[in-house]
Amino acid sequence: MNETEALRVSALKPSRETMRELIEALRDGSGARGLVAIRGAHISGVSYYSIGAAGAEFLEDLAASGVRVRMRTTVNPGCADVHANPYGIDGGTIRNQRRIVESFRAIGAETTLSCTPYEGHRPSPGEHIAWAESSAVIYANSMLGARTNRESGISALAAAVTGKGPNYGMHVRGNRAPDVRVEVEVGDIDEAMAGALGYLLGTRFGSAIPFVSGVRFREMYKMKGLLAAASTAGPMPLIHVDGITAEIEWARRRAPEKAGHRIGMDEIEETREQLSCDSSEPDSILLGCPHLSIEEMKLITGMIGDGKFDKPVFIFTSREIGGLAKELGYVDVLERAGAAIVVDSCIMWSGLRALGLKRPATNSAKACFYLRNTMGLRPRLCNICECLRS
Amino acid sequence: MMLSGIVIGRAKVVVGGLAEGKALISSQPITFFGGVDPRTGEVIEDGHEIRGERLSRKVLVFPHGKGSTVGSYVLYSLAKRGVAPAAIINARFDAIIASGCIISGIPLLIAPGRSLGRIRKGDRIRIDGRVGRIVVLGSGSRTRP
Repeated sequence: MNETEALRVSALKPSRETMRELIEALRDGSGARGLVAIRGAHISGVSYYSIGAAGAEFLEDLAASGVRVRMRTTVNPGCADVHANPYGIDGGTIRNQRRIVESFRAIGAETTLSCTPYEGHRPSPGEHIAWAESSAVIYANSMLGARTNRESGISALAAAVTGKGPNYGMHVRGNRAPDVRVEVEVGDIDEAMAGALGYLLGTRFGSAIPFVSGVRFREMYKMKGLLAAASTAGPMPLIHVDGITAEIEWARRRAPEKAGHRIGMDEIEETREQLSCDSSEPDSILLGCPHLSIEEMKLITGMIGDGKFDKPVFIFTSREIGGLAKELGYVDVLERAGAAIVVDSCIMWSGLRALGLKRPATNSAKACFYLRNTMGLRPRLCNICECLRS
Repeated sequence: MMLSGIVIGRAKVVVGGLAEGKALISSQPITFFGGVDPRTGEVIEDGHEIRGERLSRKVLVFPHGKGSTVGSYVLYSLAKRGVAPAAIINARFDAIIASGCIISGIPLLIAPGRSLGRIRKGDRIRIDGRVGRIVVLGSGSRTRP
């Protein structure tokens, strides 16, 4: 290393100025119309398994510069609950996960460690936010009418500390109009099938924005599963669903007149079969991708009654929802039946694989995709009721 | 500068700065997360055309990034250890590479594919990231004047 390089390396101290340069480069690179004031941020890349030592080091250096976020900022799940460490992850990993969480705390972020930032505080319709975590992005745009592109962990972080983001894509109202009209011809489907429908929409329409009519169900948890699966399959940031989503009246006036696409039950079932390995008996049950809401916790508790599980059951939620569920008595019922309530972490970026599960049942199409393709497991996609009975 | 060389084209500057190094070229996109060892800068992606090469002090030329957005942090890790590329030239703006270069102080230029096609592996390249100039000082087979 020569002197100039040595100087450059030692001068590597990320600060608010670095983050401002980053936002400006992203503005120029994306062809944005200038910058827009951002009101809320959600940061991904929090699990040590995801960002590794390199990410932990950057976050620590940034925190050391004394920079603080300028808005409500929440963060995605980590690799484990560092207090309880339920899967017995090695001490080194736990220490590194703690360093990451401490760095976020130091810059003023709320260490929610959850993928459902809309549970605590809902952004208002039309509010400009910078969210990473694709399932939260599509939920915010579709269900809340808030405006966010699919940010990376670092671009969301840059928006949080500078208060600004590049004004393009979903921040510009005209870009939120539907590109295609899709008629869905099915009755009231369960959440596993809703997820399969979402996955099909994401696969088929890529980054185009669909206007979907014919969806009969109204349960929020089914929509949550549909949207999460759509954003897993492709870059889709927004879906307008007739009778359900936030900007539907506006979107209907701008949707193509004729339905250019139809989706029937047979196609959705075919997609569910592609995501699911139905052949053998599940050896475990994984629920909470995205993290369960209190309504979903209540629903599951109601289904259990006096029953006991004959296989490991993991229920993923945020620390906040977990605490509320404890107060309401749901956690006692679930734990008595043999389920483990897991907080601060996630099915995908967690140490779950250390437990050696091979054939989990889940009601999440998104989880199915990742369990199968990145973890090499043989998941079964079915509704909560079938999961619990499996 | 008195050094002679062939100016092969103007590029758009994303991250400014001066740099010089041997060209390392990949026609395939690069993922820094999972594709490059964050401690040594060695390309480790299975089946990648520059697998086994070390990025340290090279002028790295490739079309654009791919894969996880966490790749930005890997560039930072390389820079902290002094094993980062001297500069990067891409054909297309890519948010992951741009974010990584900004936090790591690595000069980054975006140049049209036809300019990139004139760079050969091992060429000694000078980047003037103040004005976006790319100069070939000497070809891979010759030594620098």
